[in-house]
Amino acid sequence: MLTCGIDIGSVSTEAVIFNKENKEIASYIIMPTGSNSKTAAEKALELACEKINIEKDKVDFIVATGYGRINVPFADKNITEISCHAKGSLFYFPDTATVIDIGGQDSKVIKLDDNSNPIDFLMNDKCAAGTGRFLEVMAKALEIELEDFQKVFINTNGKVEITSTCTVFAESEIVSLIGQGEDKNKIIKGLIYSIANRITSMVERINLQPPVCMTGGVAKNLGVVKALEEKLGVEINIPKEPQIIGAIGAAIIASNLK
Amino acid sequence: MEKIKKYFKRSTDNNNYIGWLCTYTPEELILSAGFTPFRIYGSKDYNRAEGFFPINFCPYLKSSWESILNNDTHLKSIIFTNSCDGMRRLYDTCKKYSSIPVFMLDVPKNQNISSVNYFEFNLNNLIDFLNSLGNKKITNERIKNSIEIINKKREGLIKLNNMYRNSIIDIDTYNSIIKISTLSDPYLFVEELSNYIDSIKNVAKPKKPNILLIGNFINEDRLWKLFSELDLTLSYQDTCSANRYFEGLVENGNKPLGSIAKRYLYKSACMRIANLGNKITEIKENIKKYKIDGIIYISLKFCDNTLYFYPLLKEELKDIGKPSLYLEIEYNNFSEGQVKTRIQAFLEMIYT
Repeated sequence: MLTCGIDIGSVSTEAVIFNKENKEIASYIIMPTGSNSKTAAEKALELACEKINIEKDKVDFIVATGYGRINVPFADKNITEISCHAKGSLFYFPDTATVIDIGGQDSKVIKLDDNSNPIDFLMNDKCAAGTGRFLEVMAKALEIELEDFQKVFINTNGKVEITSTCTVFAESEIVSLIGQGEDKNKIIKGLIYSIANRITSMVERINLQPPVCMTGGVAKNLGVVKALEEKLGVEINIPKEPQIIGAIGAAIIASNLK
Repeated sequence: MEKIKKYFKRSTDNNNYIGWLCTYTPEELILSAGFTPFRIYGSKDYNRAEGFFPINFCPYLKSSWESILNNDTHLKSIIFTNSCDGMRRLYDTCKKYSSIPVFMLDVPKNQNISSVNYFEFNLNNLIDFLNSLGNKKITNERIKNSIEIINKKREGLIKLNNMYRNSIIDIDTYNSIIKISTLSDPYLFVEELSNYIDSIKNVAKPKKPNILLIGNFINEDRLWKLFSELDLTLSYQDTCSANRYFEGLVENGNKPLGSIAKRYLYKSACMRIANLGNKITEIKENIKKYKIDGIIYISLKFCDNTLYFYPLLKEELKDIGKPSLYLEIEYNNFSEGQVKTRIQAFLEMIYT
C-alpha cells in the first residue's frame, strides 16, 4: 500500500510516497511553493508519482501538513507539522527526545515523552528571524551562496557580533559592517551564532532532553548545526534529507490511518 | 456576534450608560442609580491611545482609552477598580484628559470578614458618587431589586453555559451572548435571553475533548469562530470575559450591600487578586468537575500577573498529567494561522 505526505511550507513544498509494507520511502520531491500553495501541492504529488511511474490514484491515503495544509482539497486529512516532524524524526532516529525544526519562516522545538509522543512544543511567533528566509536574505546581502556558509564557518577563526534580531535591521547591520571593513567571513560566523543563540533560548525554554534531531531546510546548513551543538552541548542527529521530514511524518501517519 | 444581535434588540437600545472595565465592579449599584452598566470593550484600532502610554502597556486598556477619547458610547461616567496597575494608570489618564466623571473603587485582595467590611465601606463611597451624578437616588429597595435582576441574568447565563457544553449552541454564539449581557439593560436582557433559550430546539452530542480555558480579558470574535470549527468544548472559561464574570449569586437578604461585597470578593478571582495557592486548588477542582482533558492558557500581551502565573501552573499541571498550551495574543488582533496550528497540534497531542 502506498501513502503520501505533502508538506506545504512557506518556501518549499515536499511530497513523499511511502510504502507501508516494506516501510520504505518509494519516492520524494522538493519544489518551491510559489504563490499558490494548492497548485504546489498538486504538482508535488504529480512529480512524486511520476518518479516511480505510477498514477495518482495508486496512492491510498494522503495527509497534508505545513502552513498550506488546509488548502489541499484532495488530501484525506490534514495534520499539523508538529505531529509530522515528530513522527518523521522517529523514522530515522527512533530514540529522539527533542526535535528542532527550522523551516523557511517557522522555527519550532518539540519535546517527546518516553513513548515518543509529543508532550510539549514551542513555535516562533511574530518574528521569523533566524529561520531559512533570514539566512537567504543575509546570503544575498553578503553576495555569497548559502551553501558556502558551512565552509566559512569551519575555516574562520573569530566572529563579529551581530546585535540586531530583526531581519531588516540585521541586513543593514552587516552592510555597514562590510562598509567598516570587517572580514566578511567573520560576519558570516557571527550571523550563524546569532541564529544558534535564538534557537538555543527556545530549546532551553522547553528543557533540552537528548537525543536531539534537527529537521527542516536549515538543518542542511552544517554551520548552523555545528554552532548549535556547541551552544547546546549535545550532538545533533541530522536525517539524510532533513527537508522532507515533515512530509515523511505525514506519509507515515497516513499509513497508520489507512 | 452580528447573527445573534437580532434577538437582543430591545435590551441593547439604550443610552444611559455608565462604563465599567473589571468584573469586580458591582453592576447592581450602577443599576440602582438608574443607569445601565456598560462594559467597555474598546476600539478596534487604538493609534491615538498609543501616544498616551508606553509600548508595553496593556492592549485592552489602550483600546479602552481610545474609545473613551472618542466617547462614541456617550458614557455618563466610568467606574474603575484598582485591580491592576494598568487600570490605575488608565484612571489617572482619564482624570487628566477626559471630562467624563470617574470613580476608583478600591478592591481588597483578601477573603475575610475585615476585607468584606472594608469593601462594603468602599461601596458606600461608590453609592455617594453615583448619587452625585443626579439620576435616581439609591435606596435599599432599589439595591434589592437590582440584586434580583442581576442574579436572574447570571442564572440565565449559567443555563446558556449548559447549552453550550452540550453543543446545543456554539462557542461563538455563547460568548457573543455573554458580551451582549454586559452591554444591555438587564431587565430587558433577562426577558430576551429567556425567549432566545426557548426558541432553540437543537439536540446535539457534546464535543470532545474538554478544554479548560484560563486567561485574562479575551474578546476576540475570530478566536471563538476558530474554536467553533474545531472538535472541542471549552468546558469552563476561567477568564474575565466569561465564568469569572457571571458565576456566583448575591444573597438577597436584609444587608444587601454586605452581600454584594461578599459575592464579589469570594467569586472566582483573577491572577491579580487571587492567592495563587488557592487559585491552583480552584483550577484543579474545575479540572475534576468538568472532566478536563487539556488546558489552554491564554493571555493578552504584557499582563504580568497572568504571565507570571503560567510557569508555576504548568508544573502543577504536569504533575497531574494534564497537558497545557500557552497562547499570547494582542487585543483585537491575532495571527489566525499561527494560533490555529498551535491549537490543532495541541489537540493532536491530547489524542495520541
